[in-house]
Amino acid sequence: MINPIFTSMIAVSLLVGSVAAEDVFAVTTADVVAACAADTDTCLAAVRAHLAALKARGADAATIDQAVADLVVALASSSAARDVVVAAIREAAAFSSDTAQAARIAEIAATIAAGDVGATAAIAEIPGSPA
Amino acid sequence: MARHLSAAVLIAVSAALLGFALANIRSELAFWSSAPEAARFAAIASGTVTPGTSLFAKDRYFSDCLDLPDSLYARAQPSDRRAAFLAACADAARSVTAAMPTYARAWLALALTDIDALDQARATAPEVAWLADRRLLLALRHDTEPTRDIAVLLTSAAGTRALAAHYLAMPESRELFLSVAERAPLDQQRRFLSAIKAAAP
Repeated sequence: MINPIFTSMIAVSLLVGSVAAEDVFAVTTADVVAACAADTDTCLAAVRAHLAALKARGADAATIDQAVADLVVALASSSAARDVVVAAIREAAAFSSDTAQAARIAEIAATIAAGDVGATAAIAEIPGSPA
Repeated sequence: MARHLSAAVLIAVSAALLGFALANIRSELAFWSSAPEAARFAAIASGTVTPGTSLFAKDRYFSDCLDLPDSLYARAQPSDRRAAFLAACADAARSVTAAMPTYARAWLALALTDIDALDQARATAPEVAWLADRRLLLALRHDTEPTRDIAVLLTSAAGTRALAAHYLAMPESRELFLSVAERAPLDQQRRFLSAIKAAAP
């Protein structure tokens, strides 16, 4: 006769172990940014591993889209080479299920590639301005 | 008995006033800190922060409504999250303009999602260059008439420099900028040309 309490404890241990193992091997946003300091191939592989792992773990579209956004912001503010950043951002955009978001991210990549700031307001707000 | 009752009423009123004060302090102080744009975006999108009672707090709130959507952080966000941010700004702008109908910054924030409000934004601060700059970009995005804003920008040195930057960044709008500049006084035309030459790579 198998003790049900003992069986439950083993099941819980296995579950905790598998979750912990997943976390140990998960590629984080910080890992991707670190990988992008190397070269384009390493960087793109890290981007794919990070976002594909989320998909494989059953993350919903909204979670993946947010992960794409977080990754793009982290990459754009990293000190990696410009062409590596641009390639990584384009790769990340391909994982978004939101076509409008993907289009905006493509514009961000184009802006970074061109080395300009795009069409944003060119006059800073004047503090205390009566408006 | 009556003494106990009045003490209880006083305590209840004090507690209510304290709660009201704390709620106001939160929205007043929220924009005094220089929180990162991600935190400010999240606070507005989630409705955690609303325009405070003071003009300063309102200014800070609507400045974020106007400038954050063009930031890299906001452009990278999923569309639902951007929509939540813009809807919060529009709700706040509707409520504030109902009480302050001459507050241009709130009209312009409302125009981000309701382009008809752009006329009110122009009417309430026609000559303010930094607002004309933002109105111009919004009008161009919505394919509406921006001639008045271009003319306003040409009247100041800062506005002319901004227009020159847009001239270089937006080749598709150059003809429009030139057509307005050609009707401006000669000194403004010269200043615009100089600004383009100075800003050109």
